[in-house]
Amino acid sequence: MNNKKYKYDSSRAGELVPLIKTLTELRGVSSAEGEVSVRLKEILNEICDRCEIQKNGNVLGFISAHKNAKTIMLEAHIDRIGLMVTKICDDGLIKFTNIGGVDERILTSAEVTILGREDVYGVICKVKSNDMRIDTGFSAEKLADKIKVGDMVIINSVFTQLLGDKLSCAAMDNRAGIASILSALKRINRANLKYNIVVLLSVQEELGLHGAYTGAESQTPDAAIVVDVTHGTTYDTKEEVGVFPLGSGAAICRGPNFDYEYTVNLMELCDSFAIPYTIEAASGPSGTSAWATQISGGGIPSMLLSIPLRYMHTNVETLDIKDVDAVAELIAHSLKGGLKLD
Amino acid sequence: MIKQLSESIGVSGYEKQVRDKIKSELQDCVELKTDKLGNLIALSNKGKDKPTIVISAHMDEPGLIITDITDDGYLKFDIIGDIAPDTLLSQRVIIGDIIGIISFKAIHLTTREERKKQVKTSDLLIDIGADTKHEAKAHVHVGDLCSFDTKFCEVGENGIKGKALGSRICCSVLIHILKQAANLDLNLTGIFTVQREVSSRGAYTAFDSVNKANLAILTDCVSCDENIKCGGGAVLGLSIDSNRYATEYAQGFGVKIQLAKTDKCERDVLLEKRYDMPIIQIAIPCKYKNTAVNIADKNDINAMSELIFKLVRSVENGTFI
Repeated sequence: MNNKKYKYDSSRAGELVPLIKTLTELRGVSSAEGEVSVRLKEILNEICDRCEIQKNGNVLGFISAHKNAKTIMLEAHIDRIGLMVTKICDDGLIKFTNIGGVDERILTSAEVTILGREDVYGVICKVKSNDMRIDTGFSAEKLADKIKVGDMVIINSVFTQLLGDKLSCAAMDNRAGIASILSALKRINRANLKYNIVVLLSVQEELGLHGAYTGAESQTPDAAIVVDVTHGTTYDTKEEVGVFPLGSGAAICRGPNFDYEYTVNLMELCDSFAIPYTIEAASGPSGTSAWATQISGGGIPSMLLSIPLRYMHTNVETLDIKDVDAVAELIAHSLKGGLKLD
Repeated sequence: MIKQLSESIGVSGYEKQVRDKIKSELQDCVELKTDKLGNLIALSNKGKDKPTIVISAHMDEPGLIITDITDDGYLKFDIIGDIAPDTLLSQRVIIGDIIGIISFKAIHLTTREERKKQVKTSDLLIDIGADTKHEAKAHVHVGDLCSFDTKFCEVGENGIKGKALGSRICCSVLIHILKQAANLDLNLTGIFTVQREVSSRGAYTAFDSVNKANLAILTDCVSCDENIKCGGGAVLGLSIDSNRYATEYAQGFGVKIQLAKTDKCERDVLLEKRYDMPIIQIAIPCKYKNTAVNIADKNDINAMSELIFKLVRSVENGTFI
């Protein structure tokens, strides 16, 4: 077992950044994850012994250790928030509603893409004081051939590298989480695995953890590590609880949603290997798939690792790549036996 | 060309990149001069006995100016020109060779009262990813100008979108006309002004070199509303003075136009300075003018171009007096 202390290696950004960029470019608004499921199954197929896509789009990947090994589940949701067309008005402007908790303050003058029969570009404008519409520049007649009520809409974004190791893009929630799991799986030695691994990449989390409930119910792992995002510190949230500085590492969550001892185990693992981390406390639901995994599949002791993220639920979600790496490293150490399952 | 100009950066007060691009387009066709404020003047003189026409377009665009750098490496800013603060959230801005994001508290962390509050510029900061003031200062300075990072593209049936569309469309139309100066038998002066967005400062000096003209056409951009529509044609600015003749004359061409009252613009500066020339104002209608993403209609651009060209011809052959 490797006893080297963790030190962030900037060459890892060379793998993580393009991976995150690829994942954030996939569409997959909650309940319409099709293309994302297919692509993720392709990626997982290269790492896992066997993969499947469940009826609702959940992607499962299986890696076997040995006959009597215990099983760890790694979970991340694959859906992203977006909008949906509700009506095409006579003047060609489009009414819409939100799918998941979109931050409506960013919508005015936001550029969007309507995922219809073809992609249609649009800008969100205000018609009266609080009423918004999508303006595509097309008339209602022309639009009838291209889009329909019920079509999903994503908010456009540009994958941006800021100073330091910070990246900004839409859908970091939770494509960055998926990236950390995929990266962790590349860091373990397949030859002498301690635990069987089940990867659950779930759908419809933003609607109510639906894919996590059904996906976890279909499996019976001995423990689950869920990866998601948490709030990142901005200048006006420095004193707030539950907000973590970018670059502070993996945010490990404690509280009734989680297995008390396994969570302490994770913290000790970080201390042993100098993996940067912070601790988050949640007195009730963590707001993540862990709330679902905890009571599914006969009851799965759960843990949550989060990546600090600024501007959550907007198209400029910002994180520090070092935090994604810290989460990946912690997962890798857990899988190698650092996490002691009884 | 509108694409190149729209994606160029020329926030009011430092229009150099746009001016240089225009210069490179025109340097082989006309004589070029730059005045002390940065206004670019293009001259094609055919003789004292020929009629004279002046056409202007403004080069600048609204943007932000850095006013302070916080200890955590965030940037405070003010808005230059007319931009609605509530459209700034989540916008990306270009500051020199780095990108910044307009920073704000995630919605989950806000209270209902906070969400109801009107967004003020003083509540917002720019996040460039710096962790300390020291790190930020290595890349930006107080006083640096920021422009929006909006890419140009065609949209819908006849639309185009980009930033600074109003000004760059007018500049393109003017460049197009100046390129034909050799074929025109009159004195043509093209004036590319600066700082239209900040009380039309450039207009105070830009026209000084023109003593007298048969006609001055000021181009500009107006916002769409209930009366002015994208696709409704070139906008003719109504004014309440002796230039009414010029405006009525322009309506006789049969080009698609819409009439609108316009205020607080370069025309007012010229009237104040009492130049000896009738003034007509022709504008392009733009949707969402006071945001980072503007939309205009290609048919309106054609109408504007045709109208101006017909006026130029009228002055040239003496039918407009």
